[in-house]
Amino acid sequence: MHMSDALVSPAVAGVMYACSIIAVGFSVRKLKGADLNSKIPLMGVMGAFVFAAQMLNFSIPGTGSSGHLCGSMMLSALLGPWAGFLTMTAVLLIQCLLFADGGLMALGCNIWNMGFYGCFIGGYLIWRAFMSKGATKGRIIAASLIGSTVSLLLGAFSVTLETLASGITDLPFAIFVRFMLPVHLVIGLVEGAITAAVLVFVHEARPELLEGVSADASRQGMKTSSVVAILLAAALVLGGFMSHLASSNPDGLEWSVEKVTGSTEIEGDGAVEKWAAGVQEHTALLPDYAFKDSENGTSFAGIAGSVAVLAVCLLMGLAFRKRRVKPQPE
Amino acid sequence: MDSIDRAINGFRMMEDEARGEGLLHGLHPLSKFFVTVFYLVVLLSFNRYDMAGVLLMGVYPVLMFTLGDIPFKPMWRRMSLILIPVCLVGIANPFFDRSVIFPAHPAITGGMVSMATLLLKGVYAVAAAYLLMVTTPMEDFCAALRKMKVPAVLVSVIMLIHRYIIVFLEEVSRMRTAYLMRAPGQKGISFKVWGPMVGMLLLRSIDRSESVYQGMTLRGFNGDFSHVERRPFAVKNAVYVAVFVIVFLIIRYI
Repeated sequence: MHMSDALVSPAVAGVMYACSIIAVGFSVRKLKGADLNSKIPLMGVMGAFVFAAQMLNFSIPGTGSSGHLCGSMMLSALLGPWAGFLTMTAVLLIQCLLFADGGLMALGCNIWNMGFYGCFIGGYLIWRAFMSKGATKGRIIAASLIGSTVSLLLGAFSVTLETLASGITDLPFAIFVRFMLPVHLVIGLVEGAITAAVLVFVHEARPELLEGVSADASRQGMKTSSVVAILLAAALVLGGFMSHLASSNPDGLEWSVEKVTGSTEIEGDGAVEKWAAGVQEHTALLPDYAFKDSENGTSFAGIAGSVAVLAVCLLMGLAFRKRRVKPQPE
Repeated sequence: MDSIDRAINGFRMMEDEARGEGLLHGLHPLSKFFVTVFYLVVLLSFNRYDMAGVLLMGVYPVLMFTLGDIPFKPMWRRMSLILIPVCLVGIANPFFDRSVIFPAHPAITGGMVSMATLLLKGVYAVAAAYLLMVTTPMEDFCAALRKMKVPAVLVSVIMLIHRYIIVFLEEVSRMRTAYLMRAPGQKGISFKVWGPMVGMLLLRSIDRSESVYQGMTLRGFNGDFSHVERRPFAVKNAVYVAVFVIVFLIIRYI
């Protein structure tokens, strides 16, 4: 995902350099309070380790292709997000200068796309949220998979925005995004699986090396309730505001159906289909993502949909959760 | 030769070249860094259809390669890494931008020109960064970074990574060779050993960092490496910067 210099304009490169420099400055400030001198050798050696480990290709079962380790997530899990981000910055600088992987002008973009999201979204927000109640094999796997995938998708999305803002390509935004995101979703899952395999091994061999793992949930890490609140806010923003940007074109399935039948919706004429359609008509609160008999209501439909999905998940969780066994008085 | 061996060889070649003697080697790292960044800013500021201007910007790499007697071939290998994604992004331009710029047979369209300009920019940008690093040892480059007030912690980490890259690459190469000899005919490393293989390397790395820390502490490490300025900022550096800034501005605005 390294961007080369040719893909950015000076203005975009400058803005992204400014953002990355602020993040580097903030990380240096956060680290100054810690025992920095003892951490520097570990950061250097871990940077070289990530660099070398990324040269190993791991075969993906059943596909014939291969993937490699997610460096920023791994560094954050072992060094913490601040030291991890600085180490990733150094790795990216060396990759760009000595191996032509990326470019000097695009370095700000690459630090942001590959370091910032991996270390602060994957390694801080997601990893610490999962580890706040202690590390288990399942939590490490889930955190690595989700962290790597989310940070890679955000990075890929940023690459799209930065390239388009630079005016380099004539590719329409929607096509570019559709090309980038599915590819990086798969890469993210593979990188997450490899990262999880390594972190599970570390947890079993030397659990004290993992960062952000707490036995006391109230003291360290972000609370699960905070993460839920952030995700809820993101869902509401996406549902409420971004729903206006939703394409009126048919989705992939509807497009395929339209090519075959000439219409995006297939009218069933059987008794069962008619009964089901009748039930849906009477029960659907917001048909076609809008109020009944109204063209408006897209925002409300987005927010209502998010809240409804959340409520259903919550009810399912409550219904299926394991009952806590009350301690018996001795 | 596989990717790890290629990386080791490329790294060693860069190190050897950077310590050589030539026209560009004798300049102060700060002046080379400034000219490189200025060159890149001017290069990337060209309009996507201004192929003539971008072509002229080739003056700098061509001049430096020939005057500095710098090997050309290793740079072309590095190009492949960069040109593939650039091509993937640029390949859409001829399809989406069909406005005819030059009515020939076949007609030259805006998309064709913008794609060619993009590729040229990619090639020149890699050449400029290569020229900087093939004539500047990493410790001199890090000393220049410290002069530019880059935080000591970041510069120290860059120097340590640079120092240990080759050690780890060789270790990874040995591990992979040992694995492939025991599991012949495999395309990559089986998922069953993903964790133990990299995990063991990781644990050894952390143990090694402890030894490195103790060694550095015994030698009086206080959070920053002492950088010795081997080349003072002489008049020739100011001349070099001034000449190329003027040349780039002339190409850009005339």
